[in-house]
Amino acid sequence: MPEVYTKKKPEKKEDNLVETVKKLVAEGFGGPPWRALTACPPNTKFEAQHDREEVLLLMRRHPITNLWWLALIAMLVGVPLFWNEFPLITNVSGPVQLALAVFWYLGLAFFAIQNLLLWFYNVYIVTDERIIDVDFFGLLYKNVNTTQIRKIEDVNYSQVGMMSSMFNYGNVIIQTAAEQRSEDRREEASAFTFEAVSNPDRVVKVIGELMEQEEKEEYEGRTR
Amino acid sequence: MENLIQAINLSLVVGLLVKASLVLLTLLSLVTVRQASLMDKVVSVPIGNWFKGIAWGFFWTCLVLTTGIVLIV
Repeated sequence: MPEVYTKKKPEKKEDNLVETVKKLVAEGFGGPPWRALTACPPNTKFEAQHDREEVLLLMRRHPITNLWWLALIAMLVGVPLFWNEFPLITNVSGPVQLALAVFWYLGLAFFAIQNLLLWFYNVYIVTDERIIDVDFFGLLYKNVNTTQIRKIEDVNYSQVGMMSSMFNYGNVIIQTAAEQRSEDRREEASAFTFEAVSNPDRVVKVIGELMEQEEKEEYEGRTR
Repeated sequence: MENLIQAINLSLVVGLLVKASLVLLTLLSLVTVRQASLMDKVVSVPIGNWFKGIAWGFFWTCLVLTTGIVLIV
């Protein structure tokens, strides 16, 4: 009897991985998800993730971009040591000076924690279906942009300046078919701008391969 | 009235301002706790609990120090 219906086997994670991601994992980019660029991060989930959707790349700004606020904190930590030079502060009583110092250090700690959280959670995710740009600004504003891989029209990257050349990071700009730009507080070239990600050439290559894979699947009628 | 005006000095004014700022900072640290929790919901990574721990630690530090300063200074 001829076979009328064959149940399609569910695609394994391995099937959705593009060659460049496999290479990245082999080169040691497949480590823990707190790195600037992680391929196939373990135990990483995001809001509105589909059941069979796999995270291929998890990116955030290069750690060197945190240098400005770390340097600022390093400088400001020593300020209370020179308070006796300011007549206004020397005129207040000892306990008030102590309270002022406590406030100063708590303020610095708050600034550090804020910057650390914003750096860590402002992530860019590439899955086998979509790209997601998660932007947090300050305490109470978040902006999450999502698009399907098949809606991407063009991907390019730019590396500007000495630091980005030295540490190999840059902006990956992804153009989509969407005419209307989503609201964004940064002056980005596109709603999907992966800012200061490390190894931008690799990221562009992965997205390019995913686009090709998606086109192939669409041609074969296997689009999910 | 004159006694009240005489009692106001620089230490008193600065002390009040610092206390008010510390209370505000404590409230902001509580917002940070909520923020860390929401951020972890958007992107869940294994190290997320560590960040939540930092936020909670900062909040309790702020609360204890603020309470101490408001009551003692």
